[in-house]
Amino acid sequence: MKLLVSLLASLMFSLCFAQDDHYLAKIEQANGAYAEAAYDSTLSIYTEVYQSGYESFSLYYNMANSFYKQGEIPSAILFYERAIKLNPSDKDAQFNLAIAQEASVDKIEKLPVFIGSQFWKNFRSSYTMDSWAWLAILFLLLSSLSFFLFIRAKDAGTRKVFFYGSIFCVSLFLLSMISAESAYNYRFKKESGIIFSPSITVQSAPAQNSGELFVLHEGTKVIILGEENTWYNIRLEDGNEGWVPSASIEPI
Amino acid sequence: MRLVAYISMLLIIGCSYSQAQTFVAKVSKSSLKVGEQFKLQFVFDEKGQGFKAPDLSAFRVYAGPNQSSSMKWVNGVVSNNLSFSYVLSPKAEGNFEIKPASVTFKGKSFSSQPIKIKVSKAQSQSSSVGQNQSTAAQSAAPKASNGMDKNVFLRVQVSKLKPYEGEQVIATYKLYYRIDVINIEAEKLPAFKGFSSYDVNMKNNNMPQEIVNGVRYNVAAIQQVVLFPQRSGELVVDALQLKTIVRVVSNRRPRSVFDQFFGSYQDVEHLCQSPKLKLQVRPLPNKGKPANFKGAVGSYSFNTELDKDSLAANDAMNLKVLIKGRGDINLLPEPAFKFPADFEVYDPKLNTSSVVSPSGIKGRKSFEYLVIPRHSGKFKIESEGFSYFDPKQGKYVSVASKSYDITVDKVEGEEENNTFRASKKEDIKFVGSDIRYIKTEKQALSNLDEHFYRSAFFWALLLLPSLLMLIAHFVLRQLMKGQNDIALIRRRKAASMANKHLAAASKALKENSDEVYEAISIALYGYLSNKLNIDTVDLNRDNIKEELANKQVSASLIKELEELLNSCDMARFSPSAAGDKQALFDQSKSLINQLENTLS
Repeated sequence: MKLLVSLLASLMFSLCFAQDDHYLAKIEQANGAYAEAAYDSTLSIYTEVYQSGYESFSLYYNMANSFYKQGEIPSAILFYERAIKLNPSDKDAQFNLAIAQEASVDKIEKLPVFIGSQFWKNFRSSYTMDSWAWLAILFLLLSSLSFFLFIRAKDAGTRKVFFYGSIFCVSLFLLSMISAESAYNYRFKKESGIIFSPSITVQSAPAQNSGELFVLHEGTKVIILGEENTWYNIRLEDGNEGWVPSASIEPI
Repeated sequence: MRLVAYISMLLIIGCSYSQAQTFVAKVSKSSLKVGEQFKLQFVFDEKGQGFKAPDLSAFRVYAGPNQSSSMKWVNGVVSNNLSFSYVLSPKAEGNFEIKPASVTFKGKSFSSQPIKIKVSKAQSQSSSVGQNQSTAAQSAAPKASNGMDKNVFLRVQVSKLKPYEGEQVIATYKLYYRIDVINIEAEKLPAFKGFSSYDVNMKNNNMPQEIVNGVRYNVAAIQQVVLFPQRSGELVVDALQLKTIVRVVSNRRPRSVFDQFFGSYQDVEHLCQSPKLKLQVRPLPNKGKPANFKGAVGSYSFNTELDKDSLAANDAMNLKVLIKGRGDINLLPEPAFKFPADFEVYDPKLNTSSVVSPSGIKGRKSFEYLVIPRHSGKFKIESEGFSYFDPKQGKYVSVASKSYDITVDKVEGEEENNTFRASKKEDIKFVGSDIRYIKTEKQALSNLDEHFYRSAFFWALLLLPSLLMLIAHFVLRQLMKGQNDIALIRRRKAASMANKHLAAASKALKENSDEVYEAISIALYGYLSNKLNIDTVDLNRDNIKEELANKQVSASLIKELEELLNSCDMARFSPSAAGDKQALFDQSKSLINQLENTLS
């Protein structure tokens, strides 16, 4: 059994690294171009890697930087947001995002975030999704072990210790699973997007001329509440809601 | 001498200062005739305030109050003067009193003296042809007799009696006369309530002669107005009141040679009033009313013009709308445009020019919009067009207008200047700051769709510990079960094994051999070993005693067993000292039976 696991793991890693090497070299090359302010070629290399189906925090972050330097603010914001999704605690990405947002048009008063949800977000992002997954496995293993020992033990005191130990480990396991699931949703669900149209009128219903509510400009982050045909139901960070054509939004 | 002069001068000055302020009322005539004009003046010799006029309802006020103030500087003495003057004429004969007027100065109130006026009956005044006409206006002419209405009268003529709401109606006030009219004075001008009105500037008052009731009259247009009814229903075109002074042939005896030669005339005042005219204003029909109709009535042409349809963001463009035609140009509504919400649109610049002529109002109105797109992209300016009601055709006319496609380009400078980006927002947080540098350390790439969480591998690993635990549990249970079985079997077989050994012992007993003791000893120890599940090697007196005590074997039985084991051991090692073999054997047998009974 152990053998099988280690075999699987090593196979996966070796596969990854084999493909990585080629692209890592490319990224290295792009980073060099960035240093020489050749943002055009930097961007084309990054984009090539990205379009080959690879991602990493630094790839997104570097792409965003290049977009910003090229003056493509909405793309810069989009990729900063994507980078932050992969590594929510990175200060550089947050700083640069703030600068890029300053260059965008709409100024939106953010509603105060509920302190509990902010705490939960911070807690969840203290580990990556896969780390949470590994933690879940670890805690389940520990809880199984203590449960097993609880069953086997003859001595009442020992049984008590293992019983509570097992319950403790099960709760940690559940916490890890919830965090992993939450991180998964945050990562893969279309929860928010960036406006890419230079100027778009938000409608009151998913149809043209259904009633103009307000105007948004490129670079504004919106929360995607739902989808209807070719329309997104969106909410701004100040709480306003409306519908925009989905073509005008790039989900993060 | 000089001193005296100074003193007297000071006295004079002092006198002038101490002099009380006076407020005097003056009239130019205190005895006059009805209709005769006179001047009333209130003079105050300081700068007064809060003038309160007396009741002048008994007089017709031609002018006033006209306020005038003057300041004089004579020999270093300042004198102020404030006066209010009226031009009045009495309405009726009798004795009147002009009550005091009041004025305040330095918080004190001053009143003028009352003035008495005597008004006598107006006398008809004859005048010859050569006399100045203007005096006739000044002096009161005698009232004309009733028959004068046939000689001089006013009429109002409208171009339409049943106009639509907002349709132009031209009202002409005409004076019909067949005797000389010397002077005309407007007594009451019509107010035209419910209309918007525009006076026609007439160049020529004379109109062709007309025959009314078989009598030929000269006609003069007094006033011509273009009217636009503002609401539907019955609207009244107000009456115009004119005070005319007409010259009639006097029937009095001529007084002089001139009168005889030229004839004697008399100037008579005659008040003419046009009849009130009622217009039935029709409401605009609801049928076929365009959605964009905003109340324009008349006939118009509509034109829009955009100076450019492609420009850079933040550049301005002009959208000009020109409406030309006949109708109430001034009140033409602003045409509706649907500008993209993101465009900055300023209030339109209006330009109206119109000509009011006897045939109506003709003109043009332009709206000029200044539009500034703030962001790049493709936009559309849509016009709702323009529609009006044409009363001649009796229907609505819509003029469609173009909608414009506009391409707004990015401002070129924006892309070049990308290292420094001043924030456009109000509160600037990051002026002059740049983004942080890229990450150059190598970071493993991961496949976009590959992730450990939720993968099959993850689920397998997650299930693994539970599975392992279950397996371990079952294996262990199986093992334990086996162990327990061995003990059980041993326990069960203990008696029979003991019997076997005892059988060997009884055989030895028959042979009377010393092996009896050993066999008995084996039987006892073997039994205990099996029964207590303790290996023979580990078996000793202590743990036997302990185990048996644990299993609630009575102390007497344990003691008996101990003695038996002692005697067996003794017999084994010194057979001579041993007692009766048979007794020992029997004792052992009964003991095993007793133990079997208690332990099973």
